[in-house]
Amino acid sequence: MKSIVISEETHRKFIEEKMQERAKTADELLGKMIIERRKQRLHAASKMFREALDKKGITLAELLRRSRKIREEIADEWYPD
Amino acid sequence: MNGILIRIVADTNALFMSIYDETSKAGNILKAASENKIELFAPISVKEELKRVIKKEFNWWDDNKIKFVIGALPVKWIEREIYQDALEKTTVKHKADKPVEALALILNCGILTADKHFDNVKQKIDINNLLAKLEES
Repeated sequence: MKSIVISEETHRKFIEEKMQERAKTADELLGKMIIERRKQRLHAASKMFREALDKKGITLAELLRRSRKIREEIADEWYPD
Repeated sequence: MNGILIRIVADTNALFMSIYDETSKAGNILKAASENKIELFAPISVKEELKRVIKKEFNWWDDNKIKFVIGALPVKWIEREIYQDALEKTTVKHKADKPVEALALILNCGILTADKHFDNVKQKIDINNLLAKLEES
């Protein structure tokens, strides 16, 4: 177990949130918050990726074909025969 | 919260497919990893591949943007030293694919890939079976 120090104000908001989310412990609430944040980041990254692919004007299939070439370049660099 | 149930090695194509469409089958695997229902791993070579492809194809992106997108993937990146010795035990033909299989051998787990080169690799998992298993749990 680890301890963290937070301000009174953050503690008050945290307890409110814990009640709202019906989390039994602070640990459970933090776990839920981390999962939500990860999903938000993934969603934002996904949107950025799709927009970039559209801007580039290539399909995912084409990107995967190009990726294969780069994979071979990396293998040749990292594991020369 | 659920404990970690399943470990999987993810290949580059599966990661690109999942980030392209969050609602796809591969996207659901990534979501399950975000929710700690499965644990996703990939060799560091896959991270390098993602980085180089994005840098080359989206050349207007700065390093922070690339870092953000790759960092958003719920994947544990494994350094070369960990799977290096298993490279010679791999069955996949192409040298470039060996790190993915080598890592799966080290971790004793399945491989999530859409690459046909892995069709005869016994660790290749069927995504439909995996999703069904996740739904049951």
